[in-house]
Amino acid sequence: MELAKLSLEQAIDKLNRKETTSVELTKAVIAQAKAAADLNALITVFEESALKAAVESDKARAAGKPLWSLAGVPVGVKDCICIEGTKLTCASKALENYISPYTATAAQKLIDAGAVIVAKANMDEFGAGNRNETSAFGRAKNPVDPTRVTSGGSATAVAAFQCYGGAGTDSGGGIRMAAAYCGLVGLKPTYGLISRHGVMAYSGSVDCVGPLTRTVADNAILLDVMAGHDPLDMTSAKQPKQEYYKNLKADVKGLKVGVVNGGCALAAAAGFKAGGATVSEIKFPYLDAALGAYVAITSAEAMSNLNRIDGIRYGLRQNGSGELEDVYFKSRTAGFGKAVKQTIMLGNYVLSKENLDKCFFKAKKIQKFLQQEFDKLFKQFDLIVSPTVDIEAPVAGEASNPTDAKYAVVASLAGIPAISVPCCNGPNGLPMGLQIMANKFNEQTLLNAALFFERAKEGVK
Amino acid sequence: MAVTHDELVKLAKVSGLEFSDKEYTELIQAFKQKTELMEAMNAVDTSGIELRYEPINAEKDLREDVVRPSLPRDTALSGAAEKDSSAFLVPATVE
Repeated sequence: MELAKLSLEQAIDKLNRKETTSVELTKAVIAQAKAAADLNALITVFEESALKAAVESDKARAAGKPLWSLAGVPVGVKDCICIEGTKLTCASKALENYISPYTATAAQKLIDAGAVIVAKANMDEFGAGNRNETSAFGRAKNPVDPTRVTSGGSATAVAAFQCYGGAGTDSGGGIRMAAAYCGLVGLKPTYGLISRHGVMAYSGSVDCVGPLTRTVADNAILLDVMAGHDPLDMTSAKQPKQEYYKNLKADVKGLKVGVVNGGCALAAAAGFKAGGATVSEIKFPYLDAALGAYVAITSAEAMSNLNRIDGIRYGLRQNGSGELEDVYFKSRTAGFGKAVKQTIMLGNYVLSKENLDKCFFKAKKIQKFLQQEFDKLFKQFDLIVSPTVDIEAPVAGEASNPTDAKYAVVASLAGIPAISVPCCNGPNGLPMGLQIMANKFNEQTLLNAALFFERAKEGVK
Repeated sequence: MAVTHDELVKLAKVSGLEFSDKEYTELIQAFKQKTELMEAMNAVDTSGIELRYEPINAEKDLREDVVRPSLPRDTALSGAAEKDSSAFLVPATVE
């Protein structure tokens, strides 16, 4: 098998067996990135520094030094995650030349575990969108069918073998929808499980960092590394350290699985019965209301977060007439793209005196309501499954439909973990994903069920 | 919840953004789509729901009230388009 096409787990195994080197792995994925540069998955490729880190990793291995779990493995991170001394663009002209002054905790954990950071991945500008079509640097293409969208360059890069795994972010499906569209495994962990320190905020009450990988086992390996309490993030949860990979087993025995809205999800979830789970259909009539709440909350929070981009402290500066107010207006107008400007305007609309109660406060109450509803559901069920998104990856350039994200946003608003695993192929032969949700901090149950599903699907092949 | 051109002009002012007439027309359409989505919230009775949301119901750490090193001044200034050795430079706002 070509080196670049190994799973992350296989790459680690080959390194440990001394059947390959970090330099070989790094060169393999960089060659893939160069060969498929037209997919536009990556904003920055760290060829020189990645190869240098790979050489150091190989030297340490040869010298018999103690190595961490990801020693020598090339991974990518989304370009809203800070790495000191490197560009952080958030796919925006406003931050085109911005250099991160420090490293995000999640990225530092990858580095501390020995990972070779090989690239920063394309994304929707500041996270405004779910098709990676709003990037100031052009859309990332879907490697399965480049005429189709992905939901993030991180997924494109992992699916196109340009890295062995990626750290993405998910506010309302950024990781999970990308995984579904590209045939990958994507986990949005419980809110607070992975630190957001050093991650450019889009919508602080729902943003999560999480792993995007080609297999469930790879996902558990990256989650092991990135999860954990961080005193630098006040929303970081203080939870006992878990060993997700070590405890990973394809097991759903005795679990109660509820399926939202039937269809292909029900057919897919029926496979859990073979593993000893009970499966039943449940009604969840709040998807539309949740989507409305998501729109209100994220636009308000994104607007607030983006107020810091004003051309003064960092980012693009346009002086205009030279008056201070004109610096703000000209810098922001030139720096932000259309989708981001619309988000900012909507954020100010929902927070305006006239709309505060009926939009923002209503949305926050619905967020609380959803959390309570899931609390009730998880007294009856161990897992809840649904489609990740009920369509194949849309054709690029087609009008964006916010309702694509209706299944993804409920887990975001409730703060519960949700994973997307490849499920079936749609009418055009493109991959579709099954979303599995669990109660807060039950990532192990989620990963075990995802592994069971992955293996059952492989068995069908 | 339809929004008017005049309301958008006011929102643009507080948003620190400028738009052409064509962009305002596009904004009206975008707002129509988004406000329709938000109207779906009315299907849920939230009258008994407390306006308080904790993303995680877990123990949180408050840091010790002690001084600790922060971002060095040079580093904090490194991304500014205009600066001197100690401060961000902005156009004068008083004469």
